[in-house]
Amino acid sequence: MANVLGDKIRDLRKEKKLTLDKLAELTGSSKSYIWELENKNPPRPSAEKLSKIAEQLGVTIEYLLDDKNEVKAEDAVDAEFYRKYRNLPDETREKIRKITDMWDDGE
Amino acid sequence: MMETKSPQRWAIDLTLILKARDGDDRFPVDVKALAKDYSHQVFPADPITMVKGGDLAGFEGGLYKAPPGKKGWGVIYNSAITSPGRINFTLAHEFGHYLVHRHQFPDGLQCSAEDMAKWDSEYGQVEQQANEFAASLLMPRDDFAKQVSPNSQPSFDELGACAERYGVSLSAATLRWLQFSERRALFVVSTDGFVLWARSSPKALRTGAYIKTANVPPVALPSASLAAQPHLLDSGKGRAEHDAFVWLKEPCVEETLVSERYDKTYTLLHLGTAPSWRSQDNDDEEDTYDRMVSRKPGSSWLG
Repeated sequence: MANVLGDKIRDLRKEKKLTLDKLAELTGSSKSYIWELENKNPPRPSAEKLSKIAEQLGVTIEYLLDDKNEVKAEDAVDAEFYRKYRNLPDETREKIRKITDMWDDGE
Repeated sequence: MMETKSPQRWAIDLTLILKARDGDDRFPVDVKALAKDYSHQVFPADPITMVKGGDLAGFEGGLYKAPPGKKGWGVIYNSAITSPGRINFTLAHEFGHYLVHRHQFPDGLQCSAEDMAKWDSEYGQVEQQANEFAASLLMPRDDFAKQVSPNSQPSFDELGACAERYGVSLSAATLRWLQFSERRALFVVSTDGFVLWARSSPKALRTGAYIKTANVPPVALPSASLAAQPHLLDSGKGRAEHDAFVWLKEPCVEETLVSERYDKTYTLLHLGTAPSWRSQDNDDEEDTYDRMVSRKPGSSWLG
């Protein structure tokens, strides 16, 4: 799945019409650090910086980090049948399962 | 065994069939029909029996084994993606998995844009082979070279015309041209002032002209580049000649195009012949270029 944290920050930043420079200035981060968060999905981002970013974007750090699709016990059947299956949104997973169950080639 | 053919070999064989049947009128390749017809003829016991799109957020496409009681394989893809070129590439990619990998992965393969981008991952090699197949099938080298010479310095207008001809994205067409370009050139994709990824033509790579973006801090666009100064562009497009040390240690011609739709900036850098201080023999040397390493294109083929 895509960079969920990065997409959230980017969308909220654009909604608030903030440039990378401005958000960096407001949160005491460098411009390149914010860009990296938005575009490169770096491992273990700093909680302190994230909480400042959340504050400026008007959301909680829990909202930024909450990724329903990421932490999920692996379903044994799914794991066997689909690779990287658990990284997909639930809704998409369900739709794919329906398509494979029906196996209907009509449009 | 036929299945041990390389991805390129598969693409060339299919291209010959299409050429014999439809001549020069065969583009863009109808991957959906080709995948079904060809697999039914050649592998009647194990064909592609379903190609089905759906509104599948977060998903690119996948190759699935039919459930018990049904025969063969199915390709499922995200039809909600607004770029038809990207869908076409994904279908060809999954057809490539069917031809090359279905015996190795009897339960099927599912591809996210991220998987396609991660070349060092477990499936990196497999994804790269499917991309190579798709690029060769949709954009045969001989035909492409007739549209844009491997010796030219094409503009995005020319490459865009090829993207149209082959039903792929501008990014995929540019990468394909870069593969067989006989000149030194770089393709740089950026957003918000920093480089997302970059790719060099083989000759540029061998002579040390590349931009590394993996496992390094974000690389900012040079402040004197057109890409960093969108206000200088005319309807989102521009071309400029630069002295040395704007983009690289040598002069270059920059062609830049802003895609509002994808929120990305595409830049082609046309370089001269290899500078004498850097022959093809000493490309192991460390210098500032070595901040940059060529990575295989990943989701870049889709963009």
